[in-house]
Amino acid sequence: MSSQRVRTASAFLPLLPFVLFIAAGIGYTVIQSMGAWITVRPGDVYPAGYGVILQSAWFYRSLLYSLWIAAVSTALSVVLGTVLALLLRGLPQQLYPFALVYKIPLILPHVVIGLIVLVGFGRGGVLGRLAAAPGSTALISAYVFKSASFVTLLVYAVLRSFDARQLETARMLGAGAWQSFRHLLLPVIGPPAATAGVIVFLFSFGAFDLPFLLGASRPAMLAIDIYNRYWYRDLPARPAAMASLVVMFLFSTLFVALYFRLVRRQKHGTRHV
Amino acid sequence: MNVQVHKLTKRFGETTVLKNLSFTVSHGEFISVLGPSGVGKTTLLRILASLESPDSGTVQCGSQNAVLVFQDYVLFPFLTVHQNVAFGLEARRLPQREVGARVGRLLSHFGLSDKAAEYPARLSAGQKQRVALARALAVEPQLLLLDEPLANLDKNLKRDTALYLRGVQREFGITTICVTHDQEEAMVISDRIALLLDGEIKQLGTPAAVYYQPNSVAVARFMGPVSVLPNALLVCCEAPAGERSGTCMLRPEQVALRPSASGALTVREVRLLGLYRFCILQAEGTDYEVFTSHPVELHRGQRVDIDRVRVSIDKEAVRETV
Repeated sequence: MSSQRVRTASAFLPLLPFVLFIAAGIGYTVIQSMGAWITVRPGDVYPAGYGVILQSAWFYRSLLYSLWIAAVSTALSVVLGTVLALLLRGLPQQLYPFALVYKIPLILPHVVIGLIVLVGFGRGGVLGRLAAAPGSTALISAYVFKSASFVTLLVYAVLRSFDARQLETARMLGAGAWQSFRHLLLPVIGPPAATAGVIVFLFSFGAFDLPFLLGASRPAMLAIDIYNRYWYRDLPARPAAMASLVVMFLFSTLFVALYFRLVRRQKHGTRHV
Repeated sequence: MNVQVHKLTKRFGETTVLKNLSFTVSHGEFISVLGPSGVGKTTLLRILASLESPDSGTVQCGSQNAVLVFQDYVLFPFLTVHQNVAFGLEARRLPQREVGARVGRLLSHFGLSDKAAEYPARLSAGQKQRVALARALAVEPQLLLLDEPLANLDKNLKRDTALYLRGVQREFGITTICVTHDQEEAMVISDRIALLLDGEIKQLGTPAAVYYQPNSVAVARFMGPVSVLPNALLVCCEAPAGERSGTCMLRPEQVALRPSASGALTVREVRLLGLYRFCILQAEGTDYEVFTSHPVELHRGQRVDIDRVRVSIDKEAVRETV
C-alpha cells in the first residue's frame, strides 16, 4: 500500500466508530424490516414489512401528513427566519445585543418548546381553542418557533459579510427595492436559506419528540406511527414498522442527494464567485 | 450644470469631520479632493452621492443624479459584466433592445466585449475598474464621484490608468469629483485640486498653483518635499528688500546648493531619496531641512550657499487659486 493511501486511510480512521454505529443501526433496521431478528429465538421469521405498508392506508396517510407538516413548517420557518435575519442586518450596532433573544429557541430543549406551545396552541390552550386544526397548528407552531431561529442563525451569518455598499450602488443606479433584493440579496441569502430549509424539513419530517407531545393521533406523524407499531402491537407488526423506517431513511437520503445535485449544478452552471 | 457645495458641515458624535466646506465645480471639470486618510474625503463623496446627509449646508447638482464608484468598485458578484453594466438601464425600464445596444457600445468602448459573460471574480483589478466605470456611465449621471480610483492598482499602472480615466472623463464630458490621498495621482488627473486638511479646504487651485504657490506650510508639505527657509539665507533671491525678512517655501528643483569656502551654511547630513536629496544644513546654530534635486557633490562639514532657481510656470497653469 502506498504511503498516500495509508495517509488517506488514517485520515478516515477517527470516523470509523461513527460509520460503524450508523451502518449497524441501518443494517439491523433493514434485517428486521425483512422479518428476521425480531426475537432472539433462532428460526423465528415473520413476513417482510414492505408488502404490508405498501398496501396499508395508514402508511400513506401518515407519510402524506408528515410531508405536509414538514413542508408547511419549513416554508414558514424559512420565510420568518430570513425576514428576521434581514431585519437584524438593518439594526443599529448598539441594539444588536438585545436582538440576540432570537437565539433563545435554539438553546431550549424541544420538550420545553413543546410545553410552551401546548399552553398556547394545544387543545386546551388559549389560542388552540380558536384554531381549526389544533394538533397540526400546535405542531407547526412549535417547529417554526424552534426552526426559524436556526434559519436566522445561518442566513444572518452570511448576511454579516454582505457588503451593504452593493445596495447603495444599486440605489444610485436607480434600482428599486425589489430589483436590489432579487439580484443582490437573494443570491446571497438563497443558499443558506435553502440549506437551512433542507435540514429543517428533514428534522420536521422525522422528529419524534414534538409530535409525541403535540401531534394528532389520526393521522399521526410517521415517527409516532412507527413507534406505536413497534412497541404497542404484536411482534408480527414490527417488520412493517421497520420497513416504514427504511422508507423514511431512503426518502431523506434521496432528498439530500437531489438537493446537493441541484446546488452543484447551480454552482457549475451559473455562478462563478 | 455646475455642482455647488455651500457651507457643508458633518459631525460624527463630538468630532466635526467636515467644517463649513464651500466650493463650486464647473460643468465638465475634474476636481480632486486631496487629503490624508481619515480627513473626511469619503464622507464628502457620500454626501455628494446622497448616501449620507450633512448636518448643515447644501449640495446642488441638478437632478441629484450622481453615481459614486467605490475604491474597490463594488461590482455585483452574482451578475455578469454585461448584467452589471445593464443594471442601471434595466432599473430605468428601458426596452431590452436599447439596453443591449447601449451596453454593447460601452463594453466595446472600455475594451470589455470579450468579458461580457464573465463574472467579476474572474476579472483583474483594471478590468473591474472599467466595468465599474461603464456601469456608472451607462446611466449618464450629472456627476461622477470616484473614491480613490487608483488605490487598488500597481504603482506602474497608476499613471497610465490616471491618464486613461482623464481621457474617459473628457470623452464623456462628465463633471467628476475624485478623492485621493496621493498628490501625484491628483496632479496627473485633475483640472483643480482641493486640499482637505483638518476638515477644511485649505487651498483650491490648479495642480501647479497648489504645488508652487501653496498658501501655507501645511499645504506645501502635503503636496511634496519642500524646504522652508528664511529669505535672508537665499543668495540669489530676487525678492524685494522688504520680503527678505520672511520665509519662503521651495521645491527641490528650486533649490541649488553651491559649495563655497565662505558659505553661510554647513552640511550636517546628506541623504539620497531618489529624484532628490535631503540635507540638514546648519547656520548660526539653527538646523534647516533642505530638499534639492540639483546634482552637486555634497559631503558632511562642507560650507555651502543656497541659490534659488527660478522655475518658469505657465500663467494659465496657476489660475484660479482660492
